[in-house]
Amino acid sequence: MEGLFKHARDLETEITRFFDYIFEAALTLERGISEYIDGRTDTLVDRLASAKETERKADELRRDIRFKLYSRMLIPESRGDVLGLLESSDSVIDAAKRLLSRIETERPAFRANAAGDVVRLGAASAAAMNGVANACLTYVTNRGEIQEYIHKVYFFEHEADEIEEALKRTIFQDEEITRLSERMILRDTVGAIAEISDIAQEVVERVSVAAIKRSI
Amino acid sequence: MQMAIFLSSGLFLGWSLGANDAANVFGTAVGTRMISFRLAAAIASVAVIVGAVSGGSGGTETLGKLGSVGTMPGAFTVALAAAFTVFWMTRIGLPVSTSQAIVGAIIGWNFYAGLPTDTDTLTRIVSTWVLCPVLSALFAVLFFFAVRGLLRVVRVGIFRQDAYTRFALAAAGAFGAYSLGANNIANVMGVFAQVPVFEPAAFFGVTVGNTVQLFALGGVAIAVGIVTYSKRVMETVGAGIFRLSPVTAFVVVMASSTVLFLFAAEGLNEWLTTRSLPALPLVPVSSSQAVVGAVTGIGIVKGGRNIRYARLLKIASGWGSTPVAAGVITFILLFFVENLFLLPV
Repeated sequence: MEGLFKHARDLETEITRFFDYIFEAALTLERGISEYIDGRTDTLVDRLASAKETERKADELRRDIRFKLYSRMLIPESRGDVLGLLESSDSVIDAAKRLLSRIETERPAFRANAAGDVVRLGAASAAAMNGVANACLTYVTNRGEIQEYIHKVYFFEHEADEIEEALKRTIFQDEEITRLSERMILRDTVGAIAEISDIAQEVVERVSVAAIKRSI
Repeated sequence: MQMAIFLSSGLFLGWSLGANDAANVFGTAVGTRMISFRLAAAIASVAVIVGAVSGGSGGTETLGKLGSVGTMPGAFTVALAAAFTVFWMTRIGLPVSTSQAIVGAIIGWNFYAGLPTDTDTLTRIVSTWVLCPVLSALFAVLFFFAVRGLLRVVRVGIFRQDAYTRFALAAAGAFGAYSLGANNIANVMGVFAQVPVFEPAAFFGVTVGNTVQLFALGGVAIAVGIVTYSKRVMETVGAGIFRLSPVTAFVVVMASSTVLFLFAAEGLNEWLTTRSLPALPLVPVSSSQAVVGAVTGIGIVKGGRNIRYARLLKIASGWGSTPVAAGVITFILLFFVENLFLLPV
């Protein structure tokens, strides 16, 4: 019996650590975008390396948690839901890393009239990522209200959509940008930043269903 | 040797009880992999024997009032007829309960022997068939709200709740198996209790009489049924028929076990009777019907959308068809045993 409680404590600690990686990735993403817009392109390489490291550690931890959940036959009824949440949360970290990699490779040249909105868009997506981590943590630890975090993610996703639309309009109405290819790169970069909040919303929808299934 | 042959029908009833009814206690826990079959079988085997030996006399006494089968061939035939009825009705897909079959078989014996059936006792027994699922549903509702309230207050994490639920399922299973043994041993060995089968014997300085030795033997037969054949039934119950979450399964097991316990609790019965309070009769009841009652109770709490009314109607129809079938089969078998094998019944 003591062993069972020890396994429970250990796994709760590991899952908490996994969701800490989402907080870490969100911070890296927000800082990376903000610094890039400020013209500090040299730090972007470090941010990308940090995002890659976070993604690698999260992947390893997720595999370890999955192995332990199956080998120790823990939470048989909710195992599928928990693993599903870990996998979909991992996709948020992946999306953040892909975005930083894309910016580092393509170096999109945002004009001053778009800069502020790009930083705000990055912050909204990072906030949505934080909401995912908080909702998932609440589902696992049962401390706090999941709905509160789910509503926050919906809010930030909606905000990200609005900023994305405004930014696309700015990009295509800006007469300083003469080449269509440049407009398309800027548009796709903005779309990729906003997509992170869309993935976050999909994850919290899963959390919401899992929480309903868990209630007796 | 002759004694062993005569006891075989009761032992077979015990074996089939263990094989089938242990799933009502540990089915979901094993089927959902919350508890391993080995652990479930070990807990259930020990608890069922303890229950049979320590709490089985109340139900047996009631069955004895219904009809006192005084010879070994008679008791063998009554138990065989009940076992055959259960086997045959299960095979053709009719709802059946060992408790109801044994009552029908005893009435069949009364008819054959030309003895009157005590209608007061019969009325009390039949009332428990209705009371059992109804009480079980009420307990399930009560326990459901209690557990839900507790989980909302305590708010443990998913992994800790899993650990607590496993412990609770094991404890509820032990209580369920104890109640099953205490309540249902009368079905297995009750008809033999009027016949002196064993001489009083001393075990660890304690003299043990005929009835206790019979109940211990019946308990072992149930335990053998659990160990040898209940695994598949448990996995079927856990994976399909009653799809319950482990926490809801705990509520169902606790509710149905409490009902079985109440219908076997001599101490409680005596306490209530001495205070002129209404007491539940000590009668063997169907653990399967108690489980169906508990699941229905939870279904009602959850809005009543998933209640299978056809199944409830089928159970009610079994209250009539099972004892009638068992009575008729007993009558026919007694005729052959007396006239073909020339044995006193």
